[in-house]
Amino acid sequence: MSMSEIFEAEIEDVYRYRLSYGGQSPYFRGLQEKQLVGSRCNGCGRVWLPLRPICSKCYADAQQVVLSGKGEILTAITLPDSVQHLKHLGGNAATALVRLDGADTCIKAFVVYLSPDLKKGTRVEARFLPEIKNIGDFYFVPVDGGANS
Amino acid sequence: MKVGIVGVGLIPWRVRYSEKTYYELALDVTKSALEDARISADDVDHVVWGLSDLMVAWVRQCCPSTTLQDYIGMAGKSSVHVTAGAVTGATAVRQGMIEILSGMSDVALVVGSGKGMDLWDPVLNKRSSAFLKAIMLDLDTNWEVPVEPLAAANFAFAVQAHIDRYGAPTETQMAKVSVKNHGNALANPLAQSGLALTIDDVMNSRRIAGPIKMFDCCLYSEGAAALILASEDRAREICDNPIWIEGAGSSNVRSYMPDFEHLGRLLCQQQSSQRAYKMAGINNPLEQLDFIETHDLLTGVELMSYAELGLCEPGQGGRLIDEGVTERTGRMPVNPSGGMIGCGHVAGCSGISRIGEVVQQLRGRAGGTQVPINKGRAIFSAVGGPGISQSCTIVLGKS
Repeated sequence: MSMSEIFEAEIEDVYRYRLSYGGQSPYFRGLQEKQLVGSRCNGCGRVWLPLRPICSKCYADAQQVVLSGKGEILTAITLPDSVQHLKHLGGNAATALVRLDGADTCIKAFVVYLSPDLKKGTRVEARFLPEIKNIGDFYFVPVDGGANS
Repeated sequence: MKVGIVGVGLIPWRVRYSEKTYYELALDVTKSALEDARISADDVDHVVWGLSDLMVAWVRQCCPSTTLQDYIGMAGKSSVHVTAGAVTGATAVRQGMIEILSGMSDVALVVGSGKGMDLWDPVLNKRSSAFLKAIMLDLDTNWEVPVEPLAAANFAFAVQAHIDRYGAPTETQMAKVSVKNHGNALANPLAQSGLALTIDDVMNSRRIAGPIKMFDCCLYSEGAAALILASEDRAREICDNPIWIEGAGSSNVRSYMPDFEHLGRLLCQQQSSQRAYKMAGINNPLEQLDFIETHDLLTGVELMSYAELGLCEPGQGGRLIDEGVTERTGRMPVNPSGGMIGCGHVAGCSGISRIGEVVQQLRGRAGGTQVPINKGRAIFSAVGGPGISQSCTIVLGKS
C-alpha cells in the first residue's frame, strides 16, 4: 500500500481532571504554606516524606511532622535546557533525589543552581513559587551559592 | 513437566508502520508463529496478550485485547492481558509458562503489538514529541512527572546514581556499548538502526540529561512479535527442536523512592535473575550461558546489568566492555541482536521479540547475528518501569 492510499484522520482526545490527593492532601496544603509535611510512624518511628497516613512498612498510624526544608542531594542529573517555569530564576536546572534532614525517605525535585559542581552530598534548601499546583512548583537551591540562595 | 517454545513470529522494527494498524501487526506475527510451528489456530488453547499499559495513550484503548482476539482469529479461546511497562513481553512469556505448567492449557500463543507513532503534536508538526510526552505516563503522574521533563531522565537517574556510588562507568565506556549494539544491528535484518558508529559519534551526539547523550538511548519503534508455547509432550509432537524455558524470575521493587539504600543498583534485575537462575540450576552464568540479551534502555543501564546478571561485581560493567567480553565475538556476547539501542523497542511486545531472537540463536537460525552455541543456554532479562523498578528474566535452553 502506498502512502497516498493510507487514510489518516486527526483526532483530539483531551481529559481534564480535578484530582484528589486523598490522605496525602496535607502535603500539598503544606506546600501552599511553604512547608514540607511528612509523617512519623507511631509504630516503627519511620519518617515518611511525603507523608503517608499509614506506615507502609509496619501498617501503624502515622502523625504529621513538619520538616526543616533542608537536606542533601543523593543524586542529581543536570538538564541541558532550563525548565520553562523556573527559567526566570536564572541558573541551571537539575532533577535530584533529595533526602531532607530527619526523613527516612527521599523525594524527587528540581534544583536550581549556579555553581557547576552540583553533586551527591550537596546541601540544599527548599524554595517555593507563589502558586503551588504540583510538586514541580517548589524547588531546592544549594545552601552555599545558587540561584535565589 | 516443562514448557517449550515451538514457534516464533517476528517482523522488522520500524519507526512507523503507516500501512498497518496494531491489529494487523498482531495478525501478521500470529500467522508467522503458527506457520513456524506448523500448527493451526485450532491447536491453540490460550492467548497471552503482552500489551503495554501505555497502549491506553498510544492507541486510545484500555482493553485492546478484546478487539485483537477476534482480529487474529482466536475468538472464543481463553486469554489474559499482561501489562508491566517495558517488562510486559517477558512477563507475558512467564505467564504463558505458568498457564501451561498449571495444566490449564497445552498450547499458548504469547503475542503483542505496539504502535505509538499515531500520536501527533499539531504545534510542532511532529509525531515523536507527542510520543515522548505519552510515554511519560509510564512514570508516577503525581510524584514524578511534574519534576521530570524528559522520559530518558528517569533512567538516567539510575545511571548517575551508579556513577556516584562506584565511580564508573565513564561516558566513553557507555559510548562503547552504543557502538557495539548499533554495530550488531547491522547484521540483523529485523533491526531499525544498524549503524557503524565511532565512539566520537556517540560522545558528540546531543546531550539529553546528565551523562546521557542521544546515541546512549534506546530507540522508539513500532512492531509486533508472537511465540507459541507448548507443554513438554505437545512440544515434542510439534517439532524436533523445541527451545525449553528452563527458568523464569520476576521482581517489582523501587530502587530509590522512597527507599534509597539500593540507589545505583538494579535490585529488581538482581532478584529476577537470581530467581530464574535458581530455577534453571545456574550458579555461574559466565560458564553456563552462551550469550545474553538484556534491556539496554540506556548504554549505562546495560553496563549496570552486567553485575546484576552475575557477570561481574557492581561498578565493574565498564571494565567488561573495555575488555571486549560482551562483544559479539567476546566470551559472553550481550545483545548480539543489537538490543533496544540498535534493533528497536516498544514497551509491550519488545520482550516477546527479544525472546524470539534468543530462540532463533539457540536453534542456530540467527543468520548474520549468530553467535557460537556451545552450552545450549542463554537468557533474556527485561528491566523497565518508573525508576527501573520491574524486571523479568527468562532462561532458555536446548535440552
